[in-house]
Amino acid sequence: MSTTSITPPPAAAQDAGARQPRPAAMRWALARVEGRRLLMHPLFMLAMVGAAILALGSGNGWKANVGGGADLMDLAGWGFVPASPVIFLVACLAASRARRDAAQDFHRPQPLAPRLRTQAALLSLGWAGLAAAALTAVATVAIAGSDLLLVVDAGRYRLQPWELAQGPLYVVTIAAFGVLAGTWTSHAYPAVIGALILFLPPAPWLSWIVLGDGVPAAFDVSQAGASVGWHLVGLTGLAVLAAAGALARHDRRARIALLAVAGLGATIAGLALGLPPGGVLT
Amino acid sequence: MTQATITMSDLRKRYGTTDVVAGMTLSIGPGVTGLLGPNGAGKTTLMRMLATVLAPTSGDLRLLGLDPADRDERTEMRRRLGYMPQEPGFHRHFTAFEFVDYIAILKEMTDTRERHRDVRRVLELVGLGDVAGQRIRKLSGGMRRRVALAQALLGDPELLVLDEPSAALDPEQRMRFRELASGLGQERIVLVSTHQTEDVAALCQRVIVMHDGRAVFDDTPAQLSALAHGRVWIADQRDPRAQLWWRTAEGHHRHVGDPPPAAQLVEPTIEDGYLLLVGPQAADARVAA
Repeated sequence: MSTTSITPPPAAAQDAGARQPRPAAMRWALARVEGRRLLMHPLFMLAMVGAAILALGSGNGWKANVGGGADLMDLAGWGFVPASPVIFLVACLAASRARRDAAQDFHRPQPLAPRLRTQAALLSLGWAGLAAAALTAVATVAIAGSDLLLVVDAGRYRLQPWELAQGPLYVVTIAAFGVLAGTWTSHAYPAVIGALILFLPPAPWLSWIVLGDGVPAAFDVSQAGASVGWHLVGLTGLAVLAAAGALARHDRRARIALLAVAGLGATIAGLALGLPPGGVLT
Repeated sequence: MTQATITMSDLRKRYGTTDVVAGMTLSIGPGVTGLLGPNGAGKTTLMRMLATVLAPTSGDLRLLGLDPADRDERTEMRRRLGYMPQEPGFHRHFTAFEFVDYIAILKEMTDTRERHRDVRRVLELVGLGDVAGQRIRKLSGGMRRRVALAQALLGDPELLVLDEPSAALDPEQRMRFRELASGLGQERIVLVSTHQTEDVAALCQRVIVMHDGRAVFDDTPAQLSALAHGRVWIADQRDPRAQLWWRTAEGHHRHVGDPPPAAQLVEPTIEDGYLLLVGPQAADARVAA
């Protein structure tokens, strides 16, 4: 310890008792730290590198790119599927950190409300979404060029921004489920098992989560993206539903229930309207 | 203006059918107050209640004039509190700086520049400025204790609740801790739970001894020593009438208890008084009483 006399704290610290709490500022301060830790997590970086290799692999003959369909699928989100268990796990580990590390005695006596911590954990997923968006953008330019024209057997297909948004939104959704799991559990192993069960093929719901009804359509490019809008609504609904579940851990106000209802409604709407008549999830 | 004291009245914490804290009534003001007691006496439970980590089962508690049972007052209280837990887990992948910075955010310090300045200040204060960038998993046990102490000092709190702060510190670091704590205690309430009677003697203006969830002594360290006045003696042979005895480095036997006539009495220490209060025969005497 220092041998010097006790130095006065900064003015801001001296005013600790008189500070006016600013929830938004506190939320963002914590979200920045959590977001940075998420991006710098070795497993998350590994997942992003894996997704990049998968997306860019066609040029090196690493994947079967039948009629250009694999490129389209990867850019539209499928490229993040192998990474999803890891994304789920990293988000879960971050959200359960205080309990896993038995560090609650550091957290509990602090003035920042636990619900703000959960909100910050969810906000920090924006960094994961931005990373996925950046990766998608780079892969799109590398594969389709800046004009977003994909050359496939059936001709030329112009990628739509909405289609490209599916991948980043999928990453955020998976991570939101990780936060949900991490908010309610204290150990890592349920997260690992859950990640493998939920997000590794051949989980029957995985196709819809990633691409809606675009999975079979991806090989028939004339139909690809036909219901992307509804798929995005459904994905957003899932993310909101997961966020509401996480927030409910420390916040039982009616607005959380409303959030859950909205998320459920969007999920059902996305699922119902995103499927073609008689469509199947395979 | 809030009252700069801790007051508790018939404070209890019950687990199952056991009262771990069994009706404490105390008032603690500015200065360094030591909390002594054997393992299981209820010290840590009491400290955790004072740190607003645990809610009391019953009784009245006011911290700096605020009621921790009220959510808003509890939050305000937490802004003015620094708590060093006894055996906390750390985020081992964080560096010391990152960890203290994280806690600083939880203390509602949102201005990054000011926050980082305060984090550096407290790390320097506990002598960890040079290892601030090292991951906690690579730090020694004593260094981790100092990280825990550093986070408690963030924001210059009015009330410091330190649970065994000098455990795992080497002798030099303990001296530094005493210097730090005595300086802090000039203006703040510093409550220190410890097993180190030397720390109490050197540091505390007041000492409270807990046993079986109750305060069995509450006075100055000098008065705790005085409890053993005339009841500590040395002899060449072990005296079976003593409550406690041990062989000294000089080869004598040091006894605590009721001395025989013409015993060679020696000056008691705080430890002697403490042992008379909480030693095994003292417990029997309390039951008989």
